[in-house]
Amino acid sequence: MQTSPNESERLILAAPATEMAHEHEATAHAHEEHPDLRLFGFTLFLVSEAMLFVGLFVAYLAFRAVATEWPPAGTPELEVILPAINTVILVASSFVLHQSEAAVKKGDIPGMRAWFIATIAMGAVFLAGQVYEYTQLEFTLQTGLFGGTFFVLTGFHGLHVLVGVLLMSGVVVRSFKKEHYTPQKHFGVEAANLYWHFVDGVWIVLFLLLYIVK
Amino acid sequence: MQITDNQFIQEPPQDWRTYFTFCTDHKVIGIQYMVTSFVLYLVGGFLAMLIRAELLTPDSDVFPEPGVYNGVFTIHATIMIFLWLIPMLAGFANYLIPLMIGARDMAFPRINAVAFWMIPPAAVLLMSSFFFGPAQAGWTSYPPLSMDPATLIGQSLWLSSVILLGTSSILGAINFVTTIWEMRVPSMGIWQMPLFVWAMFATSIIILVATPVLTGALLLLSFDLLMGTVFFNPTGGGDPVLYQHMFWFYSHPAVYIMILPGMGLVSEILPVYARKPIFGYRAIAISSMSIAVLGFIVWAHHMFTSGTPEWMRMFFMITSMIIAVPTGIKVFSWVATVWGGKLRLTPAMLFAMGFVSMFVVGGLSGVMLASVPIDIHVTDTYFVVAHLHYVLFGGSVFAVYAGVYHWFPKMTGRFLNEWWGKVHFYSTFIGFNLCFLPMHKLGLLGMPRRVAAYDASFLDLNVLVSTGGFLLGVSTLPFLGNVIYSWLKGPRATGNPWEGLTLEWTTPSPPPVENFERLPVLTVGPYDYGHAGRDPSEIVRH
Amino acid sequence: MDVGKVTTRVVSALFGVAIILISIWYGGNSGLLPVEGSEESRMIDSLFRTMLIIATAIFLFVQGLLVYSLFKFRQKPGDTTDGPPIHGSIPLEVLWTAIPTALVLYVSILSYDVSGKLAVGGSGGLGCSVDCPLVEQVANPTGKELIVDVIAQQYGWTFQYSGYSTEVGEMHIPAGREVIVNLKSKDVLHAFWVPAFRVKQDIIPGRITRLKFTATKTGEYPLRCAELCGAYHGIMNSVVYVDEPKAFEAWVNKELAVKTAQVARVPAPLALK
Repeated sequence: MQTSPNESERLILAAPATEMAHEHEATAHAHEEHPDLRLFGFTLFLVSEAMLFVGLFVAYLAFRAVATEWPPAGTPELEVILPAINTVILVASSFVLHQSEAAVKKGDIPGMRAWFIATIAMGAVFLAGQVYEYTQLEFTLQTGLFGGTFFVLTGFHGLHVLVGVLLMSGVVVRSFKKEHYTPQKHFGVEAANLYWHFVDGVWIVLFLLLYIVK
Repeated sequence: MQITDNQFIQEPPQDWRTYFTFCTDHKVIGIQYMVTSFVLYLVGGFLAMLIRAELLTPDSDVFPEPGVYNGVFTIHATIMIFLWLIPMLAGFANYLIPLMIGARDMAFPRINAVAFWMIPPAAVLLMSSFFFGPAQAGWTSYPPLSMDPATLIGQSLWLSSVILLGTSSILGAINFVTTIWEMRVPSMGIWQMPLFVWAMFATSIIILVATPVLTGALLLLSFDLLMGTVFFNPTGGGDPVLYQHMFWFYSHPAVYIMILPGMGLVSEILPVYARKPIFGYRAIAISSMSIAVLGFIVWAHHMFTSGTPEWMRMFFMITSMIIAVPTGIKVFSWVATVWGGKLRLTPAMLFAMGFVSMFVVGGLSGVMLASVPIDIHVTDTYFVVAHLHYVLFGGSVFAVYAGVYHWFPKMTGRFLNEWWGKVHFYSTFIGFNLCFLPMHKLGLLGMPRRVAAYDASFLDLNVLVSTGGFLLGVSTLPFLGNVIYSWLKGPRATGNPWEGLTLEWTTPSPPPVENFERLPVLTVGPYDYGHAGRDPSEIVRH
Repeated sequence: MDVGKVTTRVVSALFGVAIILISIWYGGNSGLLPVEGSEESRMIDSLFRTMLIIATAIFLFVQGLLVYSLFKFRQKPGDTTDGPPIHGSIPLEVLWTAIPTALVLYVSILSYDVSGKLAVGGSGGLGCSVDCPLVEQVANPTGKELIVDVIAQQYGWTFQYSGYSTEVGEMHIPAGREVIVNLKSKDVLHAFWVPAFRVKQDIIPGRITRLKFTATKTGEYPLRCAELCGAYHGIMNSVVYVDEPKAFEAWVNKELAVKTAQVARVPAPLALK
């Protein structure tokens, strides 16, 4: 179980094998190759963001579980067609964006850019649809537990979509800089992809909970 | 090949102005965290002195309005948790992790600096609430009390401050996990990592997973407070108990965020001054991870009287009892480390051993609290106040002090005065126990917590407690004086004055900006003491 | 066997026995608990004393080892060598995993047992009142209990007895009879706590929580609010008067029956059966 004296012997034995590595390190000292850890870090960040939504989802489910009637009596029926169309658009946009990764890996920056712009457009349509739906709803944030949870959940999600659109726009702008994105190094593209799929995934859960399962 | 200090170019000590800038050097950031949080510790400590002044007499007679007293203990606790312990330990993590794993800096140096610079504005937000009437609902901020319109501004400031601090904590954790996972020197596998690194790894995972749930709870509370929603408002159909679940889902793991790094520090310090390997390295590492995981399924032991159903109380009682086992393993391992060693009773060692001693008391009262029938009597009383201070002060704060005494020479290139360090230790130890030991009895006999007034029968014990509290307050002074004086004028320190074996001791004191001239290759484990007469500088080969 | 080893073992054994004896004594004589005023307090105190014995023993043992180490293992001046390179011991580590696990299991079983006997109440759980259809019914009245509605508000207590409409500012209960309190709040969270009875229950606005207990000794016992409820939380106190059954009946007739002549009396729920 514990580190025995053998452990330290093992380290001493291992040392000669890393002589080569040591030489390499010595010469590489001033300009050490750092592996790009940003995607690792960004993934951890998304784990945290996921937990934020988990907390809000659990709150919603808790309210729903103990309510004698859910949605509460008097809540207007939620229109499902528009949000369903929005869902299709958002899910499709993830597939669209995914093409950008293949493009950048081939070095096709204009192609990558095109996929990004298409996704941005689809995201914008989603947001517009969301705003339109908000204007059509007969209840507000202050309308009891349902109004509160509905607007907080969809609102925070919408905020994340907006951030995603901005992130993607940032990538598009950056892509005009020569050699900024290469087939080997394109953190921004990967991060935007990951973020967008995350936002998409959250929406699927949200849509099912709020509109389908009710 | 042996490395001695004069093979490194001793860099001149950093210009003090650097510490007030956006600097990406993890060592600077570490010190920024530590100094900032210590200043806030003094503020929080001052508030504690006010509390003990009020409780010298049974009547509520110190503050013009009793609501102010509630504000004082609310801000006291909020500071001590979010502006003292969590950032102070993040400061140690920032300073030590890259050095201990043979890296030149953290994975994301700029995000590291951003995370720190969120702290001063958050502190200003919280402190400013005293001008508007601070939040008065306790650091737990339970609705409906926390939604009182009378404290709207103070509560809003509290909420924004805590949300900002949670975000800072998460950013730090992203850095720690990435750095530890990806940036160790190749010769350092996970079973060769120092235990402080293990502790920070476990802690950071907790931070990443738990903190956002608090953010969610506080966001919903903010909406209730400011936007007229009814999530936790019973008059609108909301549920105050749901807030408690969301709050404690974070806040219980939060106590492990505050203790695991301290345990890691102690695991580093005891072997150095006992000249003996840490006993049960793997068990301690695994227990840190176990505590991190188990810590997520014990939260409702804070809610045994909140109207939780019996089956839930039994479940959380059992999980809370179980978590005592990995904790106990650590305690026995530390005792076994010290047993049979060659103890050098420096201030660092005194505080580290004091940690073990005091933490045992807190742990034992914790097991009592885990028992539902007993908790029903003592929850929300001074018994809990006793317990939490034994683990957070006798535990975490003692570990912080031990860490400061131990690594001060490394960080500043100067020695702290050892005699004043011992004065600090003994006065702290006595003041601390005088203050918090009688609180167990007060709670059992019937004194609730968060009260400005109490039954006259509790007078004698409260006077004893307050006396201890004032002594504890005064005991901070020798430490403060020692640190300030020594930082400016203390005797110069060598690279490895304590003959430690972890990698930070192979660098000069203070280390150069890039930490290592050449990245080290391990030849010796971090706790490989026990070779009579061995030259302690033989730690690495290049 | 050499004398030194025998001596060490005998001395250690004596210390062990001393620790056990001190712990047993302290567990029963700590003076930490208030008067036992209810059946619940008897059970809870017994559990507490057991836990205190175990805690004291562990405390003395660990602190003893630490203090002993402080003196016995101090590095001698001039000695610059290290201590022995001991990294661990599987048997020892198994032992100090197994024993705490066993102790924790023991204490859990004792606690589980006492908790079951207490059946003190609570509420229906998340979001629910005591009559919530979703979860277990809590401390349901069987008809023999005295039922009192306790109304908590910032910063005082009022009581309304089942079958009577008068709200009074004093709580009287008869010794030896089960009492169920239905706890209600008019504003924020409060908590009903009678230290002498060892039972406590949060009072949650918007729902009814419930507590069940049986007082055993006549006397006056403080009732304290045990959940931060605002500026005057510290003085939100009252008194529970535990009376002899006859005295209690007299009090009921005097204080409660007075104003309820016009209220149709529910068949004597307060009368002793």
